[in-house]
Amino acid sequence: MKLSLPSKWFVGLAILLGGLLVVVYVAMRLTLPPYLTRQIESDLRRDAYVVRDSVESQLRARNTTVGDINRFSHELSSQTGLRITVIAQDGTVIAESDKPESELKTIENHLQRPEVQQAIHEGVGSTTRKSDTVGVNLLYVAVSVRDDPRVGVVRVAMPLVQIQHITARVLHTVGISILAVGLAAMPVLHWLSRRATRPILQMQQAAGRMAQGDFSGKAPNGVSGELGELATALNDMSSQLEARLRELSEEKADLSAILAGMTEGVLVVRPEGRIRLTNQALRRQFGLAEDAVGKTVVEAFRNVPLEELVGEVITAGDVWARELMFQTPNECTFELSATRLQDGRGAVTGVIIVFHDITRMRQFENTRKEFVANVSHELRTPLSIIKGYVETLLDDQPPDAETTRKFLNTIQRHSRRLEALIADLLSISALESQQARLSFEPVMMRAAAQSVLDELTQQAQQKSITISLEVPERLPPVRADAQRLHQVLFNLLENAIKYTQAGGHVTIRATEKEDVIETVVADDGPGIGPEHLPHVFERFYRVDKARSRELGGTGLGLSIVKHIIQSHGGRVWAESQVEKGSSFYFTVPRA
Amino acid sequence: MTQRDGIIRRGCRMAKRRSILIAEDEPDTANLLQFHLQRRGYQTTVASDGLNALNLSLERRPDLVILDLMMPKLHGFEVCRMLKTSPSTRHIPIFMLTAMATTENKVQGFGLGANDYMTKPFEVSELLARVESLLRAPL
Repeated sequence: MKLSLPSKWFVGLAILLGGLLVVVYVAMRLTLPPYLTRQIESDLRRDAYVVRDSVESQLRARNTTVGDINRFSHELSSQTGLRITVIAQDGTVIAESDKPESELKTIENHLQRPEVQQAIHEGVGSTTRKSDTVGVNLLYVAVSVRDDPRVGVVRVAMPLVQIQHITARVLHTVGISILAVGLAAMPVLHWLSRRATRPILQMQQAAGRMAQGDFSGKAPNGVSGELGELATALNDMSSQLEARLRELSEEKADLSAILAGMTEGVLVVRPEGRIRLTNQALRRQFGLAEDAVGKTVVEAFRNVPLEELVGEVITAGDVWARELMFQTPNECTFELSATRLQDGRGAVTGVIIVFHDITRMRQFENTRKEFVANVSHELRTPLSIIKGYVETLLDDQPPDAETTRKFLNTIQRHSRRLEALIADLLSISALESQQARLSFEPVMMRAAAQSVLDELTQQAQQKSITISLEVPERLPPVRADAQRLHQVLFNLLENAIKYTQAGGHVTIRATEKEDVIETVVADDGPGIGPEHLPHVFERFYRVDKARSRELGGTGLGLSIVKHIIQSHGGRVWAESQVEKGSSFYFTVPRA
Repeated sequence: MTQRDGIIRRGCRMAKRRSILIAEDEPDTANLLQFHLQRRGYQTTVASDGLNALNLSLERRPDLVILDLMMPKLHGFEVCRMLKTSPSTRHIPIFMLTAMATTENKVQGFGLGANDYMTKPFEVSELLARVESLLRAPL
């Protein structure tokens, strides 16, 4: 059983006091009966002398008979409560207070009784033994009688039972007193133990609250001495701990906010290769669950080079800007920087790895590279042709007039192609450059379409293509950059005219759809195969390269359309059926 | 040596006219090459895509293939790889003529077995000199 501190103190004090009282009682018990016996014996001795003196004076005063002495003895006995025996010099019992006179003759001779013998020889004698006369344990004291020939010894006796009785009564009183003292001391002990332990308990409670992070309760201040110093120390420690803890929790909060706010993934791995920490970005990048903590790197990432990187960092040191590929499940490229975590003694406690997703950057770079390569090719081809033909015309042996004319036509065609290409490239460059801010204003779709239509009427008429404009007059305006919107409509309508066979029909239709205006340029031309349809908005993608070349296409028209519409917050797509025609849709938000 | 002299000398070899396959999807370039090569007495065939170029090469086994790289249907590199692995066409010199102008491209082209590599835009006279050189070299 576990006792509280005050209880322990109380029990301890109680045992101490109890032990003390028991010792007192036992000491009393051991010393009191012999003392009392001695006391009673000496009293009895005094009584014996008094009785002898009385008997002597009785013998001297009158001419007393033996019968008188016997009567006197009875009288004296009833007054004192003592048993009195008077014995003649020959040992015959003359008087016996416990027996009537008639029975005196039956009492045996007392001469050989030890106390009598002792009294005869030494004047006084005492003994403790069982009485033959009355049959109980008695304390006898015999005193010799002087100056009378008839009487030898006077003896008084007291039953031992009486002595024991007295002793027991005294001991009883003592015991009761000790018990009373003990019981009376209990509340005092209780109070004492509480008082002595209260500061300790208060400090214990304060320390307990501190352990739970509650620093409001302080240890008691009003205590003096060592306990007081302890309380002060405890309070100091409490406030220091509180400050330190607040700092720590602030730091921790900062750290988690930083980790949560980072776009880079952060992974902390223990030296044995198990994950200790992941941040949101990392879990998002790799689709990890929160329970990734505790797993091994390979289990969580299924990537051996990453595991090797961890090992490398632990053995060889920090790694900077290492590129690794991951399947997450799409192929992603990450740039990893890894640093060893060390404790104060220099032991490696883990590895922290920062994941920077450079997939998009790489894709962008690749797209860019591809675009540059394409541009280079697209520029070089007409330039090469122009150069070659010019060189041929300047040759020592120039071709005939007809061929020359044909060559000059070719040169002109490719110059135009180069010009168109450069114009489109400049368009793209302008669209991509940060300076090229679009100036949005409400634009009426019908007016915009009409102006494009006017520009291209002649081109359409040459191929006998009819164009119908189905844009309602009351269509709400769109929020657009008028010049760019014109370019979109121009590119789409020009494409439609170019790729539709002579005598075909093109429709420009615009309708209101929720908060956007959806416009479609539809033709009844040859259509686009389903294998080409998803790619038509890509740069330099040509459905039919030869035809595009023939028609002077740059391969950039639709990509410019897409770019412009996206910068307007709209959507662009194409639908087509081979042999039936193509429809190019785009949406622009309403103004 | 003037071009006129070259034509005269080529004229002497009319009996065994050298055949050249022009694999080029850009008709104006193909026409230009054809004009000059024919004027110098070569027999020319034009293939307008990669697949056609491969088939014509295997079929006719020309003395030289002038190969554009960025062609529809089959890339010039693939055409080259196939011609150089097939025993019947392995000996035909391949002259890459392309707008792919990086060193990487050139290294890759030579790695696939190209005998010469020239980037567009090009000088016609240099091209003709290289063609002649390729045809002269013992193979």
